[in-house]
Amino acid sequence: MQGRFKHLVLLFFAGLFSFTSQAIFGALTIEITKGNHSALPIAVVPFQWAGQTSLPPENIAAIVSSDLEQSGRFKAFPVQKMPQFPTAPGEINYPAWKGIGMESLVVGQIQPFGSRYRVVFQLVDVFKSSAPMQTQGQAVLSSSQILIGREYTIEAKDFRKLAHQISDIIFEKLTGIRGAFSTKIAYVSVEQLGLRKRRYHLEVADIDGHDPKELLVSSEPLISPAWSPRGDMLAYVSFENKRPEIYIQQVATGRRQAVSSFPGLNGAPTWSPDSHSLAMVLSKDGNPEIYVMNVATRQLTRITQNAAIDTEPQWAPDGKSIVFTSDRGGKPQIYRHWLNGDREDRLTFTGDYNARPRFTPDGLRIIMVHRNNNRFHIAVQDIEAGVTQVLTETELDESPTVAPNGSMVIYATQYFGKGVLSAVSIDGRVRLRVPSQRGEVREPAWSPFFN
Amino acid sequence: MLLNQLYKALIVGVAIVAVSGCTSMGKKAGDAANDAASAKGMTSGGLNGSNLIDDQLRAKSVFYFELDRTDVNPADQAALAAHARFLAANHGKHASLVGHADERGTREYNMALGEHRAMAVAEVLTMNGVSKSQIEIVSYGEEKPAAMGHDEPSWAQNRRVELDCK
Repeated sequence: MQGRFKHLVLLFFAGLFSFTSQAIFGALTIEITKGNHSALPIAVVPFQWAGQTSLPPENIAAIVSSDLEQSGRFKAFPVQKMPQFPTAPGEINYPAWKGIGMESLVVGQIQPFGSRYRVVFQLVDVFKSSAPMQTQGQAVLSSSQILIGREYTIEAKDFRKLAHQISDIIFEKLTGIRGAFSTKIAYVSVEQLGLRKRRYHLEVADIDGHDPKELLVSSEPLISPAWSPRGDMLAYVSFENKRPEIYIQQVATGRRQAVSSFPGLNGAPTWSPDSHSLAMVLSKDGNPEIYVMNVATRQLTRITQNAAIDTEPQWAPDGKSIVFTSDRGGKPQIYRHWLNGDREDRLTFTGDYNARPRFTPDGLRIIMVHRNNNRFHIAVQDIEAGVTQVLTETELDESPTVAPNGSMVIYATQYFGKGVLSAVSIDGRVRLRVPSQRGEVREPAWSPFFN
Repeated sequence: MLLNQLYKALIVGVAIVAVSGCTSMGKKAGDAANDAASAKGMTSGGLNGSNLIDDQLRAKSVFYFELDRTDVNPADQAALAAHARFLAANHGKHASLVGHADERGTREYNMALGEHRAMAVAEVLTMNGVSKSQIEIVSYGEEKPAAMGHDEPSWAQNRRVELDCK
C-alpha cells in the first residue's frame, strides 16, 4: 500500500511537468469565460505503476485529464483533492466520490510486460448503480457501472498516442461526439534571425503541441497550409523562389512538388473532399480569381470571372459548392459558388469585412474572420439562418481552422505583440491561449481524422 | 527670375546626384554608371530643368496606400511620371514593383491587395509610356512588413508598393 501510494504521488508530480517538456507550445493557459457550467465532472485517477523504475514512460492519466479538460466539455478533478486512489473498479469507494459530485471515474494500471507494457483502464459511472449487491458483506460491482474497459500491450514510444486514444474513447462515450485528441496540427513557426532576416518552419505536431516534426524550413515566407482529406499530404504556398507558388508535400516522406507556378498570384490552396482537386487563387489572367486544378492532370477550371478580388476558396464537405472571399461588393464578403449550375450567392451581410471561410464538418456553418469596429475576430455563421456569432475577444485574429469533430476552432492572433495560437469552442464558451516557446506561431491547420 | 530658379535646381541636382536611379535606397553596383549618365545629363542638359527635377522626383520610390484601398495617391503621380520617363528613355531598364499590405485581415486577401496596389502603380507607368515588358510585379501581402509595430503608424508604413529599377 505504502509503495503504491508513493508511486501515485510521484506520478502526480510528474504530471505537472510531462506536458510542458519538449512541446513547441508552452504551458497551456486555460481561460474559461462565461463559466462553462455544463462541463461534465470527471476524475482521472493516476494509474497504478507496477514497474521497477520510479515512473512509467508517460503519465497517461495526466494526459487524459488534460485532453478532456481542454476540450471545454469536462472539468477534470485535481489529483490533490482526490479522496482515494483506486486503480481498479473493485477498489472504488462510491460514497466518497458521490459525496463530492463526481459522475465519472477513470482508473487504470500500467505494468511492464517484457520489453513492452500492459495498460488497462476502466471508465466507471459513479451514479449508475442502485445499492450494489452484497455477497457475504462484500460489495459487488454491478457490471453496468463499468462503461468501458480496455486492455492494451504497447511500446514505450506509443504511450502518448495511447493516452490520446483513451481520451478519444472516453470523450465519445460520454458526449456522443467523436474525440479529436489523436489529430494533428500543422502550423508555421517564424524565427527572427536579424532585423530583416527570418527563418520559417512548416511543422506538424500533436494537437496538444507535443512532438513537433519539421516538414520544411525556408528563408522566405510559408503560408496557407492545407491538409488533404486523408491527412497524407499538405498543400501550402512558398515564396522560396521570391514569389508565391503552391506546393504539395507528402507528410510521411517529405516528397514535394510545385503544382502551381503561374505568373502573378498562386495561393490559398484547399483540397476537394475526394482529394482529386485543389481549389486555388490565380491572377494569371489579369485578376485574382478562383480556379480548380485536377492534381493529377493539372487541368484548370476557372470558377469566378469579374474585376474584383476573389480568393480564399474552400470546398463544402459534400463537394457541391465552394465558398470564397470576394470584394465584388466593395469590401470583402463571403460568397458561395455552386459547381452544378454555376450560381453564386452572397452569404455574409453583417459587418463590412468577412473573409477566409471554413465550413464546419456538418456543412451547416462557416467560420470566418469578421471585422467589427476595426477589430478582427473569429465568427461563426449558421448558413441557413444567416445568424452570425462572434466567438473571440482577441482583436487581430486570422486563419481559423475547425476540428474534424466540429467542436473547437484554433486560430492565430497576437498576444502582447507576439504571434500565438488560440482556441475557442464552437459555442464560444471556452477559450484557450497557447503561447509558444520558440518564435512566433501562425497559420494553423487542423488535420482530419486519421482512419 | 528664371535664372534664379535654374541655379536652385542646379544646387539641388548636385546634391541629389548621389542618389540618382529609381530607388533612394543608397548606392548599389551600377550606380557609378547611373551617376555618369546623370552627370552627363546635367552638363549637357544643365539648362534643361526637367531632367534635374526628374532626378529629384525619382528619389521617391515607395508609394503608400490608404486602408483597404488600392488607388494611387494623386500626390504620387508626378514621381511616377518621372520614373516612367526614365524607363521610357532606357529600354534596358526593368521596374520591379513589389506590393504589400498591412497585417490586419486575412493573409491571402492581403496578397491580392498587394498585387492590386502594384498593378495600380504599373498602370500609371504604362499610361506614361512605359512598355509592359519592362515591368515586373510581385506581391508579398503582409509577409514582409517595413515596420514591425502593431499600431496605426506601423500599418500605414506597410501599405505600400516599392519600386526598384534594375
